[in-house]
Amino acid sequence: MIAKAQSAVEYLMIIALTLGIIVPTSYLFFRYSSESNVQIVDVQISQIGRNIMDTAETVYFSGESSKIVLEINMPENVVDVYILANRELVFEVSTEIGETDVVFFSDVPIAEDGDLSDIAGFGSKKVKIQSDGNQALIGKFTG
Amino acid sequence: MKKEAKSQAALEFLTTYAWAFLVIMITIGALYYFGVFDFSRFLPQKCMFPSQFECIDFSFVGDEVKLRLVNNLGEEIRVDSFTVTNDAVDPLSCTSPQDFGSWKPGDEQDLTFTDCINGVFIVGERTNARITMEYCSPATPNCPKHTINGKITAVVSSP
Repeated sequence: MIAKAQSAVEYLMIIALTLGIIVPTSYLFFRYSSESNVQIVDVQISQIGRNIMDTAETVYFSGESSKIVLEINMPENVVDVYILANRELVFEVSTEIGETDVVFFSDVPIAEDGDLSDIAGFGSKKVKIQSDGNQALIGKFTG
Repeated sequence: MKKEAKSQAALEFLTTYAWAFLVIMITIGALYYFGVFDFSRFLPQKCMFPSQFECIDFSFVGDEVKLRLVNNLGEEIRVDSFTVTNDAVDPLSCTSPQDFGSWKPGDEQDLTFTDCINGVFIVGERTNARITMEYCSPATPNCPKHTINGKITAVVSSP
């Protein structure tokens, strides 16, 4: 009877010790990874934005009817994408910290070709950038 | 008679078990109260801002939140407002820097939020501050406003 009780107590102690290690480790891992995720999304959007801006410049200076289609991997936290005043490309990003506008400023006139918010949301998207001679038009590639 | 003795033993066993359970719960409660289970203290102190406004330095000192940001937008901007808060029951509230003016690309700015109250902003305690900044680019017609959010997690040190 005593031997049985001893083994039961030892078993419980091992479980308690294991849980005592796993629970705090899981908590720290979760907190670390959630903070890293915010930074990863930020870097992804920066790359996408700069890529679109560079391509818009290339297309604009290449002249009318020039066109480039970019394939991008949009992170899930992008709520909306739009262009303001023909020079600001804005990504509205929702993270655990709050909503943030990631803005890219263009040296050439840019405009939306259709609704640019179609490229928001997680997943692989194709972005068409073409010149009409006066500005670079940015929109979702539907071909 | 034999049955009564058995039930008494069972009751005594359960009573002892209940007492042991109570002692364990009180011990766990006391440990929790003294912050033994606050594993977040093992996390590093951190300042998270979008890479367009990189956070170079930060501190919570006395009743002040200090941070240094650099403008990585590649564009001169005008800062319209700052707000500091956090998720505490009584959220953090500070006096924001005034008359900020324009901010040239690549320039670093030291921001000091003073008279911080509430939000567990107590010397020796680990807390966080969510900073919201509204800005616009004067080069863009009508200067449309944009919002960025950053978060600082740090221990408040004595002045």
